[in-house]
Amino acid sequence: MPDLELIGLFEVAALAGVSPSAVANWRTRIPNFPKPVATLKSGPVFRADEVRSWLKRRKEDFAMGKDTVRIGLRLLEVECGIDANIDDMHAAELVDYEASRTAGQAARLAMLVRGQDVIEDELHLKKVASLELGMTPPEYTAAKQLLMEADLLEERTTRLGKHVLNEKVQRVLHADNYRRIGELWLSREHRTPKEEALIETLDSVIERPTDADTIDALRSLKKPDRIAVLELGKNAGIIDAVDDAERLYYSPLLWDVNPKKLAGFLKQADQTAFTKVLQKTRTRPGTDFTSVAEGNAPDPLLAQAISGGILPSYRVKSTGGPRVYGFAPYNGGLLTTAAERTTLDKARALVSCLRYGSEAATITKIRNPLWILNAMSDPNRSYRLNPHSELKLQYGMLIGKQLGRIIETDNHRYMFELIPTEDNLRACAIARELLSTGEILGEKDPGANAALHLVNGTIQHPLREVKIARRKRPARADELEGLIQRLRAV
Amino acid sequence: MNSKGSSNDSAPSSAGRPARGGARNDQDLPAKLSVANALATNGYFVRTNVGLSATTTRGIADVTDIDVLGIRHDITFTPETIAVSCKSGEAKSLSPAKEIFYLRGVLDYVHARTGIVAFTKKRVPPHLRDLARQLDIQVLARNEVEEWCQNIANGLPAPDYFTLARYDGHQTAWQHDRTLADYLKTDYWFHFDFRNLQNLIVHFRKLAPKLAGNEPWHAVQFHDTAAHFALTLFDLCRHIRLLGEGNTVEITAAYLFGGPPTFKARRDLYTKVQQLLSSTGVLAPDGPMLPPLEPPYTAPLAELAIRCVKRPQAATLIPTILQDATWRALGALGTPAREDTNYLAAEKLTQDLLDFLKTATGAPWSPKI
Repeated sequence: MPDLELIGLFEVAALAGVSPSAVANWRTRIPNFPKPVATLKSGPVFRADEVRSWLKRRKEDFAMGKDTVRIGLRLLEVECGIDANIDDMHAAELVDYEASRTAGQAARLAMLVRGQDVIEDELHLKKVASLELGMTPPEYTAAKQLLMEADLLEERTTRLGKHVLNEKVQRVLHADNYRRIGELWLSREHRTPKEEALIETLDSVIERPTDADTIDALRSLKKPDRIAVLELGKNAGIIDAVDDAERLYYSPLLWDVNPKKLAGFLKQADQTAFTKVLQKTRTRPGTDFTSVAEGNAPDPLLAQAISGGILPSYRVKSTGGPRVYGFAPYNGGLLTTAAERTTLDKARALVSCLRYGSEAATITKIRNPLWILNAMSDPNRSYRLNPHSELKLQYGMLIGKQLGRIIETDNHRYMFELIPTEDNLRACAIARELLSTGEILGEKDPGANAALHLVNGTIQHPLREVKIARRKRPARADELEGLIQRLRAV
Repeated sequence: MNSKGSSNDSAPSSAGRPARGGARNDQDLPAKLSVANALATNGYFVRTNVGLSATTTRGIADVTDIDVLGIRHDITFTPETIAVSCKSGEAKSLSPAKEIFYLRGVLDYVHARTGIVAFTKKRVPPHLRDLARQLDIQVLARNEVEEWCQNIANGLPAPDYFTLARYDGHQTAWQHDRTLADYLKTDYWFHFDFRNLQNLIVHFRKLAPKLAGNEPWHAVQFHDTAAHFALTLFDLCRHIRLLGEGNTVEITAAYLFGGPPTFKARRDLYTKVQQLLSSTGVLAPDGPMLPPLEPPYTAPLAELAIRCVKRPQAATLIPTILQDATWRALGALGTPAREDTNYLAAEKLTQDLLDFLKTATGAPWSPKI
């Protein structure tokens, strides 16, 4: 064998641009990974040409029109929806979605550990993941394995023999984290047609209501499976029918609107024009819809969409006159809880005020809204903006939303001060993402707030009050009586 | 500060680069090594015989070198630099006054706060000590050098980096491949700003393919280069701290470009330069082209910088961790292992930096901390 080039695990890792531990994981998890020609004491040895062609095939598979970032995002959304809305996490139906759930849980775990650098106590992380993300220990182990395979987490033993985890989740390029998870999900050979259908359906309905019959992956399923997928989507709060005939579907997790209202609107709306508006607002969160709101729109239905809440919009009034700023229903934020709805609402309000400052302010126009946002959320500046005469009106809406307060200075100017609560700071972070990239990626998972719990000594530390796991037992007569009394009172 | 083999004068090297492999002829070497050891024990990143240069009509030329240079950073990423000149000669021609004035100039050049002239054999009269005090320089003579070394080590266990044998080993490790050696010895210290980040990566790209990790000198060169990279990365970190952490990628891109803060301004300037060079025939479609407006490693560099900015206390330990790894690869005992959170984070950030260098330069291998 004159041209036989043999390589070990380290060389494979170098070829693939991942860590050796990721390659070791591939060997156990991916059935078509090249078999070693020999296993020496130093480890397995592979044929370099086989590894190269396998890596090439794998790359081509990913490039087959699959947007892996979107897949990663959908996986996270599905898992967030299941975790938030489905009580029975041991339901047999969920077995069909194991690969997706593991990938989604991995994405959530990645968001949880992001910024930690080193996790010294893995048991503590496991507990926080259980408490905040509802992950059982086996689920945690599977998610951790996937993150290691994606090179987002790394196990390390220190010189003194301590076992720690190195966190490698991207803080700047969030999309890269989702891309790696999406790629791994695509490489899983044991994923079921049902989970593929669920992800594809969610991806279709996320931007605009879509006819179920036009979704290929859903159409290719047998009828009972199709019903099961849509049922799961409905139970998880991520896919729902707009109309009674259950043909047109949308995503309630991402679109905070009454389905009946939406159905009524869609019946009358010019679909092409509406799609254009959605695209425009998605590209630029906080699009100026002043003329539409004033009734000067070419299509009166758009005015109806704004006034009827189909398109979330915010009215800002200051010295430059009233302006209305509109947002796409979906910008990547997850509307899993009422609190998250409020935070997203605050973030949009912030963006509207800053857009007003940069476009309509009469005295001093904001040159870069991000600078103002940074100053506002900077503890070194006491969360205050410099005094200005226009601030009172321009940021007035934010007072009503309990985002901040206005302080009058001696020379009749006004300072805006952010109230630095956890949700207000999160609103600032979301607004920053809306202004800079137009899409929420880094602050997507509300559960990621639980990262605070990884730091010992913080006020919110959940493991201080240990909840004892108790055995299920039937309620006593006196407890039942009390419950009945309370229900009667309600 | 010395010229080749001599301990009696701080005159610049005769021509070109400093003499190579002349460690054995260097009479000041034992003193330099004990001072370097003491500084390293105290947490400094230490270099010996650092070349200083100036621009001439023929390009950059060496002027002199610093015997021992110690650098460490505080949590605002501001460097605290100490420069030591070691003189072991006794000859009458060795003038302490000249050495003191000379070191003052060097301190200003490298923005060092502390300067020390150590005469291991020569007596220094009191009036020259007064002169040194006026110039904010400390003079050590004879046994004071040893005492100072003991004091600065402050009872900490010596990592034993700079023994004569290991120093030779270090020099030899750099003799295997000199692609980066001259650059790191001299030119690196000339532009201590945004240019160093780019220059270091460009130079390391040439060396990286040869480093496979199967020879001890591979680890030495990789770690040493990474340590220099960390020093220049801290300049970017300081920049990000000053401008705010809101838009790190944009700040990093502007820093690397060395000019306008907005993308539009950079693009306009870039286009103008491109047009100018094309019109003069310097750039041609099938000839040399300008490098890209933003290097492909901008975002990963921003990621690394923001991690350092978020954990300054850990990040500032990176050069010393890499220094420790370098000397341990040469058989040194090294600093005692630690397991406090800060140190573990520092080790992790060091690994991030090594991984970044691997990715940015396309190296086939990177060492593990």
